[in-house]
Amino acid sequence: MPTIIRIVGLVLKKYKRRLTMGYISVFGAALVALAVPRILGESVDSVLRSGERNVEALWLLALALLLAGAARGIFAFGQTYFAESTSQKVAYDIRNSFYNKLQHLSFAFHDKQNTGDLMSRATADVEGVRMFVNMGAVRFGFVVAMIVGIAVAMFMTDVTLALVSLAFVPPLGWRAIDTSRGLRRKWMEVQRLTGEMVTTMQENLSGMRVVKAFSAEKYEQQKFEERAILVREATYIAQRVWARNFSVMNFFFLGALAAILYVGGNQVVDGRVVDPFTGEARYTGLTPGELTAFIFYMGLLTMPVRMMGWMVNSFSRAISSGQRLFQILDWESPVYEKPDAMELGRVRGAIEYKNVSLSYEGDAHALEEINVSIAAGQIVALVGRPGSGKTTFAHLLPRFYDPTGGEITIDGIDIREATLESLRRNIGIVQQDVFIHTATIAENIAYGRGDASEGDIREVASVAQLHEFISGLPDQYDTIVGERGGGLSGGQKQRLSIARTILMNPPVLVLDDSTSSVDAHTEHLVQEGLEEIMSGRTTIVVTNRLSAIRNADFILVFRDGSIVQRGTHEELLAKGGEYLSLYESQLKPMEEAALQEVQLAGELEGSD
Amino acid sequence: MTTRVSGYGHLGRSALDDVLMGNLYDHGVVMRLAKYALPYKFWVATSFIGMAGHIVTMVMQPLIIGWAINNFVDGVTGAEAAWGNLEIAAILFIINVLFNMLFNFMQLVSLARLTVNVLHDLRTSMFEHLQNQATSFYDRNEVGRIMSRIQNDVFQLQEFMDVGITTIGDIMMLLFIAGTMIYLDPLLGIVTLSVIPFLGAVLIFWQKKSRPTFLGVRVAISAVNGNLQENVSGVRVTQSTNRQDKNLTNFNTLNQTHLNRTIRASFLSASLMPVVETLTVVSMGLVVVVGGVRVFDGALEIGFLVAFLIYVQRFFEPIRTLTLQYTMFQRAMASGARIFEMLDISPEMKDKPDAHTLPPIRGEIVFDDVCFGYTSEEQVLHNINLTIQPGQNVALVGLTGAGKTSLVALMHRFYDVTGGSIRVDGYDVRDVTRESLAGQMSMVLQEPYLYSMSIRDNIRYAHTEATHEQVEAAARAVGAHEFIMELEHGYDSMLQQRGNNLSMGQRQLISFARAVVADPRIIVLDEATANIDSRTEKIIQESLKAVLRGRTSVVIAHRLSTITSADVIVVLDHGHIIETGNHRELLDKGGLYAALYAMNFGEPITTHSNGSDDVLSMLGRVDI
Ligand SMILES: Nc1ncnc2c1ncn2[C@@H]1O[C@H](COP(=O)(O)OP(=O)(O)O)[C@@H](O)[C@H]1O
Ligand SMILES: Nc1ncnc2c1ncn2[C@@H]1O[C@H](COP(=O)(O)OP(=O)(O)O)[C@@H](O)[C@H]1O
Ligand SMILES: [Mg+2]
Ligand SMILES: [Mg+2]
Repeated sequence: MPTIIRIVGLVLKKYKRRLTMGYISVFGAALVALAVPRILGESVDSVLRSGERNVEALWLLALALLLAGAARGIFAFGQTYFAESTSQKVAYDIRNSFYNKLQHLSFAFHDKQNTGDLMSRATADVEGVRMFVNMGAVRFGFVVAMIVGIAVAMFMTDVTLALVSLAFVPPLGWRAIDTSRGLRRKWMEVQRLTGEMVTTMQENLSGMRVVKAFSAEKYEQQKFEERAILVREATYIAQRVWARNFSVMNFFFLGALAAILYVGGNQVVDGRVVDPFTGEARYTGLTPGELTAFIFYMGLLTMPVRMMGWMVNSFSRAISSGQRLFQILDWESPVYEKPDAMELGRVRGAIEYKNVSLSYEGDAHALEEINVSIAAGQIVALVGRPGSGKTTFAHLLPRFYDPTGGEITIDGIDIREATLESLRRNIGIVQQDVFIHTATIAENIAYGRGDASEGDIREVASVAQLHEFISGLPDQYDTIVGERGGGLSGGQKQRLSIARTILMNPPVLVLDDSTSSVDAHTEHLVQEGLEEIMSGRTTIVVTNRLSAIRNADFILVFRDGSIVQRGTHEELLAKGGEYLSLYESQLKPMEEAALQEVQLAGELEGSD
Repeated sequence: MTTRVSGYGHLGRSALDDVLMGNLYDHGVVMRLAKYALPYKFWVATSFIGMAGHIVTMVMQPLIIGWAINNFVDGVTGAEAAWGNLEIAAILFIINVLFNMLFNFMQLVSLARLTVNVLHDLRTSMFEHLQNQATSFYDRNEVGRIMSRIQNDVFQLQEFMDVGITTIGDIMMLLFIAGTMIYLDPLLGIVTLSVIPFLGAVLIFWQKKSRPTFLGVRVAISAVNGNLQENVSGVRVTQSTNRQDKNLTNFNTLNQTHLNRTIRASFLSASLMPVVETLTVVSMGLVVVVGGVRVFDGALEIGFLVAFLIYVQRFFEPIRTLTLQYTMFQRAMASGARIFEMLDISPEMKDKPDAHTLPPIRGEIVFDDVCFGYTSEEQVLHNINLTIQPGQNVALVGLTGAGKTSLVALMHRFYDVTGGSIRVDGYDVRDVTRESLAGQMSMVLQEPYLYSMSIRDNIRYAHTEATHEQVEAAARAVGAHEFIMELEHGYDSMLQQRGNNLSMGQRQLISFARAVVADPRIIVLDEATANIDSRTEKIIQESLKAVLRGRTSVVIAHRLSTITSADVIVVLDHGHIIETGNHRELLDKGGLYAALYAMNFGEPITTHSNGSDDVLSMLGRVDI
């Protein structure tokens, strides 16, 4: 219920006028609709008043019909137009706020959310709420007005017959509501199963190379078919329930007609007085015209009673859809901006982690009691095993996540005191999992800075060692790449991501294993380019290549969420332990080779 | 409007994609769809029987009412006779209604069964078809585009089948009612139906006017959803580049366009109402006046006048929905054309009809003068000659873009060579079934792709028969066991989409384990350890030694420390093999390998260059 109130609130806040117009149309439409059966009944009676071949009266009645019909048409226009447009406007509002909310929710939220699920909220659930605004909020008035109006009209005509006709309404209405509820559950099940099927398909297609590599086509086909069969059967069951309900409802409606015909017919016959002299019949009770009117009233009643079912349906759908939407809209991002957050200017880049801890989702600590102090302009390298917390460490700085304990400062300012916008403007991060938009290469590079000139874009592409590659493409910078970078090799994507980041010219640069798929030579060139750029910036480099560590002012060695060693390359080598073994595993073979070479050279010299 | 694009294997941005609405009726599409209904003849028959029964009983109802009214109104013999007739009428009506219900139910249920079956078959055959497409198909077509075909287009067809067949019923009903009216009283019937041409004219005009608007709504909503989807997938980039405001402005523009169009569309739909409403009452008015006069003249009985009125009411109801279905039909035809276009793309790489199953292999691989290019203009690999002995450990080295991934992709037959041949144990890979070939090879891809299943299922993947012991052994071999056990549910921990809740390196390890569990004769590692530190890698290498014993392995890595112990190192450059030999031999040679190796050290190269060939100039030459 609070959900419904909230939706209604959304409508009332901005669209009172439209809603009022909608309601006026609804009541107008109901009122004139009621006139039609009466006029038809009157026509029948007037034809039956035999003897007086009163054609004018018939013309008058036809005119009345025309007026009532035209008026009803105009009201129906208003009803449809206002209901529909109001609901669309509400949907528009919700879409915008939903979109914006998603952009601002922290990584922790997006880690757990499935793209498919968010999309289904943005489409199916927005539609659910919209339908409610259309059906529930506006047409609800129509249903009530019609049912009440028809009942009143019937009772005014004939009480007994009215009771006979309307006896069907409460059980039918109840039935409509009841099955709607059941159906709703069934359709939700269909939706859920369809979602699973779509996810299977999506993953299958996105991971097609895995499928091919393992020749897993049959396995995938079977997995998909299992899901598809579930969808098929669930859909069928829902449709069967609907079909049964629909035909049974029809049966009762038409059955009511039989009752009207029988009971009403008897009344007509009972009240029929035939003038023994003229042979003319008069009706003292129910007239045939009134009976006709009843038959048409029943016809009019079909729609609103059926709509009761839809109404309840749209009501319960709006509750579940609304809840799913509001759940996101109300989501308290753990990373939020303080109301009095300050605008951070361009920082110098002194960074300090004080007692920083983080655990994802109740798991063990991904980071534990981290204390690091980085002076402005320093280069820091992070090394460690997969899962040791390097990426996590890096992600805390631009507040993609907030630490569960401790604090992080930049230039002595707690990063939680700054606005997110100004903080992130100061930190350029090249992420490990590269995402490329479906757009041209130039647009991708300029993603964070729409005002960048062509020259700027070229320049950063050169630094990232991409310019030559791009120049070789037929459309050069206008080549469209997409789908997480299809058409680019892994190393090219990484370099595009580097270009994108350095274009933002941030005082703090974070490179998360951003050259892992780049060969040593190209990496070397990238580094040379970066070196110029990095001067005067604070740089945090996560890497598995010792070649990249050489330039670092100091090195942090991570293990299981803690920093187990820190210092310069030489210091750490001298200390032994984790870093040394890392170093050895990578460089020892190399030194052995060097040693051999020396020996070789010695031998050669000796033989000379 | 819909033109069929020949099977070039490219779905992207073809003419069809822009066609949101086709003709009202596309014979080709309907016939092919009908083929899918062929296995379900029974349900087709029952739905048509149900439909016919439903229509006949519906049309009879006003007649019974009319007959009853006639009897008690004109019953000259007074109350007695009328009593009996009234009862008969009521009983007749009840019987009619009972049959009406049964037929209606029969129709609806048969239709439901028919549509869900046909759509299921269509979906699975599309899926199967997609599984059989070559890798190159996926290079060309975005997943989003394919998904939209399977989802939206099939959905359009579903709607078409749900509503389309009912529409046939509606039209039959219209004809039947018209016939009955003319039969009852030809003059009155024709007068009543005289409004139909007007209605038809209005509808055609309306259709012409509103078509662009409805089309526009569809275009706009897909733009809105497309934008949203991309924003959700790329949210991490958005946040790190502070693009939120700009993105919102862009989105708002699309959203606003959609809103404007829907409001216009609702205006158009609503504007049809006064017209249909007015024409209905004009028709009724005609019945009242002309019918009344006919009754006065004794040409028509009063009961049938009532029946006429009921017919008019029932006549106009389906017409209202027909206008909406018009657009839906057009959409469905376009969707159908797109679906069948996709089903018509023949897989570029099919097993030969006489392809045999590759027997268990020893693992010898021979590249015989292999040439390859993704496009005909550009050759990526040139005359590759290479023999890999069974059980050998071969490393591929070269700059980014040298062709390493392409070379192993050919081995796995992701693509076919454009010249020369590749033989595994003497069998040309093109002569054996892909399944038997791929079944004996495993490949760890450069970018790990994980599914939202449990870790166990991810490792087992297609080898569903693998026992827990095998899964664990594989995980141990790649050094993943330890961290898996630290997770709350161990091997049963569910991964989020793409494995988001693991670090990149951990994802690589799982994808690695997946290859090991498959127990292949040949294993290919394409930068499988790029995100893994060298110490962990060393550990993996040690434990892998046992796993890889007796198997042929091909390893691509940039960190050369990884491959110093390889039996043979092959250096690729611009699609040519420029050096082969073991680590020491290549170092001595002082070529590209030696240069790259030195770079791994991160130092300017001077010490290790031997002799005349300066490595720096060497690097200058291979500059990309
Ligand atoms: N989004 C996430 N949700 C839950 N757990 C995560 C998430 N990201 C990483 N982890 C876990 O946190 C630990 C540290 O991961 P990470 O910082 O990515 O390591 P790495 O040092 O390889 O960059 C790992 O055990 C990983 O499984
Ligand atoms: N799917 C593809 N379509 C077209 N060109 C491709 C495709 N994949 C790779 N290429 C091109 O082929 C060349 C070799 O690429 P690749 O084999 O991936 O190199 P490596 O693995 O050595 O880095 C590159 O120039 C690359 O741009
Ligand atoms: Mg990481
Ligand atoms: Mg590659």
